[in-house]
Amino acid sequence: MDAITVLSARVRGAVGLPELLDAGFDAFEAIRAAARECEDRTPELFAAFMIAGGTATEGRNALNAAPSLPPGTSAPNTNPPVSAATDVYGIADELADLAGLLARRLPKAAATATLSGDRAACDDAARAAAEIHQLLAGDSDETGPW
Amino acid sequence: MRPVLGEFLAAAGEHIDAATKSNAPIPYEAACAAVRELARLLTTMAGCANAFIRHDPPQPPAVLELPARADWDARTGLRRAAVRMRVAVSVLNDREENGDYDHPAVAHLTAAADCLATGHDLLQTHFSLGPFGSRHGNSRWAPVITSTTVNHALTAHMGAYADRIAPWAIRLTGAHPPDVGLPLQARIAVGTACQRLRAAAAASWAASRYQPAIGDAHALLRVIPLNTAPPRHSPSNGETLPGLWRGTITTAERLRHLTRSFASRPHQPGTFTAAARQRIAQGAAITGHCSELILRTLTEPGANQLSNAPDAMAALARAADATHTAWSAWRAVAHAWDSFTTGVSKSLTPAATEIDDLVLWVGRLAHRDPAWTPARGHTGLLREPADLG
Repeated sequence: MDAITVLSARVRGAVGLPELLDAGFDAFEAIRAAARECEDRTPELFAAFMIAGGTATEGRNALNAAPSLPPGTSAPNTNPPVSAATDVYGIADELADLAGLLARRLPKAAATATLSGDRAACDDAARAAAEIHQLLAGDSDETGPW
Repeated sequence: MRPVLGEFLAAAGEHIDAATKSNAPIPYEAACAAVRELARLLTTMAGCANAFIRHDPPQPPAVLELPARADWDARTGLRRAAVRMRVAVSVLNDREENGDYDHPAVAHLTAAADCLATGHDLLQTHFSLGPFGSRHGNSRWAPVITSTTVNHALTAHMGAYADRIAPWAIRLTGAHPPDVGLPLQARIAVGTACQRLRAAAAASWAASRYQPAIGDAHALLRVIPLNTAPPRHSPSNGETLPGLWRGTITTAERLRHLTRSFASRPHQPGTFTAAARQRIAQGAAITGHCSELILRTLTEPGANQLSNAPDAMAALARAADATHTAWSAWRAVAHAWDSFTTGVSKSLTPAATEIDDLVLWVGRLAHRDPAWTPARGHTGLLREPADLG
């Protein structure tokens, strides 16, 4: 899960709104791709990964609308975000942790953003991240849409 | 329970019977009011008989097929009776004749007209207006309502009403001496209207006699429901198995209605966003996935009473395969929307919002956990075959 680990570090270490938006965009995209890869791994988690993938798309699209999102500077990552050998429950744990990190950082960024478009984007993306965390966390007792 | 057309047809018939059963003299003021309410009632009857015909020629059918010709005669007779009764009303209006609307017979005529008007409106809920005033169906009942046999049945109902109204209404023309009764022109118009009603009644009787499927058509007519979505019923924790079945059926019906209703009305650009479309597709995929789990459970050897019926078990297996194909296709649709960012609106269509209810209903049918959700924390064991009956 190197890709997820790298993205977690980027989100955690982002300084300033543009850097966080950029890291968050890539994080949602990685969650989306990983969730899609994992849908078929076990029937018990099909629904969770299916919805997580769609919600990650919504989170990514929310940040895409942020005025302060910098233009893409790196080539798209063509490496698969998950390894076929990795335990699917372990993958769910890591995606839940990354989503939880986004759900904590984005509201703080929204509170200090000066542009209303950035605030709205961060709020919408934070809601999506919280939902993904609730879907994939193994011991989540948070209330959410489900 | 949604109201059905049969309730309003029955109520109208009861009111017409109540209005026409009495042989007591009708006071003059009540006669004036009765003419006005009869005009409204006959206009509504003609409207019901003619409003849902698919092709209504202005001339009688050239081909002398008895049901078609008799039906045309009946509907035309009802229209002409209504026109003549409105002529009588115009005469009374010219003389500023009001009337006694509290008379019991008049009150029943008013109620009958109200019931039929409501019934007509009920049928109309199954149609929408197009951009140039054209009408198109927006429910599964629309083709039934415009079918020939059901229209014949509806005309037959109106003809039966006409048969009861005519002998009573003709009494209005001779109930009082000429110098204190209805004006001459009004009496002539009422008399002519009654002739048309008798002719319409006879024609509708003939049409029914030669319509082989009229009994089935009457049965269908009575159960046409108001075209509205059932109330939303989201699942609660701890629903019983029968409750889950009912909730699934009701929610599926509601989603069908919401989808048709949304598609048939003009909506602002941007209201049907990529997010809404993806949610519907993913909801359909998960619902189908859970449905396949249920069907596979039922096909387990020794699962239920069908285990000893190879044909039934084979049919269940084919249903499970078809369900797998369907939900796989929905998953592909959901994946396709990953690439789109159409619209920035966060609003979801009603169907996109409520498909989560169906996911929960079917998911809880498939799994033992009465509080099952798609979240990882609630993933659990599938129901035993015996639990599914």
